[in-house]
Amino acid sequence: MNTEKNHHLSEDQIIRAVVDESELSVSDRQHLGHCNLCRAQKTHLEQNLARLGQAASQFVPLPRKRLNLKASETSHSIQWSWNWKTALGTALAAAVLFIFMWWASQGEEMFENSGRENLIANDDMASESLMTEVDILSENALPQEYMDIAAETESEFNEEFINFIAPLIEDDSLTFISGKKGVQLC
Amino acid sequence: MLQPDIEKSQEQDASRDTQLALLVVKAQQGNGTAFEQLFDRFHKEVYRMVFYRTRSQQDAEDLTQEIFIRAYKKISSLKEADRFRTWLFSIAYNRVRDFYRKKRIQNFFSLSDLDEDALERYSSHDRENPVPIQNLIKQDFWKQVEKFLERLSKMEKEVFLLRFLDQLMIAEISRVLKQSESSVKTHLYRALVKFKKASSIVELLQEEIREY
Repeated sequence: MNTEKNHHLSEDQIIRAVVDESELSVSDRQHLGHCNLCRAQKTHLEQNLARLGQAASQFVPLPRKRLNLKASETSHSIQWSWNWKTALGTALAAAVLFIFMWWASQGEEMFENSGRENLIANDDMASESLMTEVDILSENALPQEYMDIAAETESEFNEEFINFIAPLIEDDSLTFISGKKGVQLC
Repeated sequence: MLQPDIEKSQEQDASRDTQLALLVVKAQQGNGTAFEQLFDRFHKEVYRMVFYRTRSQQDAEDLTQEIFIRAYKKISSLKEADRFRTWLFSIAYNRVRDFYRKKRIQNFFSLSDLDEDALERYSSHDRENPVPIQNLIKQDFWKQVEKFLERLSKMEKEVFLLRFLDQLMIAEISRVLKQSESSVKTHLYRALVKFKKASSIVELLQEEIREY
C-alpha cells in the first residue's frame, strides 16, 4: 500500500497522460492502468475538458441566416462582378487620363517645336544681315561719306602715271645694278 | 461483449471515412452536388470554430461562407482526400488569422479596442435575445472562457481550442498549425497546467453548466 502511494503519478504526469498517454514511461502507464486514484484524477480532468467542449458547442448561437453554399457563391459572384466593374471603370478612367495627358504633352511639344523653328529662322536672318554688314565693312571700312570725299571709287590712275610716281625696279637701272653682287660703282 | 462493439464502431468510422474521401474526390472532379454534401456535413463545425475565436455571429457567418468559397476554389489542390477535415480547418484557421490582422489595422486607425468590440457584441447579442437567465449563463460562461484564454500564449490558446473545443487530434492540430507533434503536445501541456489552476472556470463547469 505504502509502495503504491509512493508511486502515484504527480499532477504533471496526470496532465501529460491527458495530453498523450504514450508520453508516460512504461512503469507510469502500468501504474495508471491499475491505480484507481490516479485513473480517477485523469478522468476528472478529462471530464472537465469534455464538459467545456460540450458547453461551448451548446452556447454557440445559431446562425441568423441559414448558411448556404449557393448563396455564398452568388454573393461571391456579386462581389466579383463589383470588383470587375470597379476594375474596368478604373482602367477606363486611367486610359482617358493617359490619353489626355499624352495629347496635352504632344500639343505642348508641337508648340515648343514650332516656336523653336521660328526662333532659329529669326536667328538665321539676323546673322545673315549681320554678316552682310561685316562683309561691307571689311571691304570698305570707311563710311560712304568719307568714300565720297576721297572719291576713290572714281579715280582712274593710268599705268604710266603710277610708274612715274613709283617706277618699277627693273626700269631703274642704277638702283637695279647697285642691288647686284660684285658690281662696284665709280 | 465490449470488443465486438468497438470493432463495429471502428468499421463504421472506416466506412464514413471512405464515403468522405469519395465525396472529396467527386468534388475535386467538379461535382457540385458532392461539394454541397461536404458543406452540409462540415459547415456547422466550421461555424462553431470561427465563433469560438470571433464571438460574433455575423463575423462567424461571413467567415464560414468565405472559408467554404476558398475550399471550393482550392479543392483540386488537396492531395489526400481523407484529410479534408484537417485541410478545411487549416483554411479556417488562416482565414480567422487574416480577419484579426485586418481588424487590428482597422482598430489601430479608428483608435478603438478589440475588447470593447467584444463587449459591444455581447451586449448587442443580449438585447436581441429574449431569454435573460439563459443569456446570463451563456454570458458568464464566455466571460470565464475568455478570462482563462487570456492567460494563455497565442499558441497555447490555439492548441487548446483546437483540441478541446474543436475536438481535433494531436496529429491533425500539428497539420493545421504546421507545427511538430511534440511542439503541439508541449503547448497543450502548458495550457492544461493553466486550466487546472483556473479554478473559476472549473467550478463553473462543475456546477452551473451541469445544471443547465
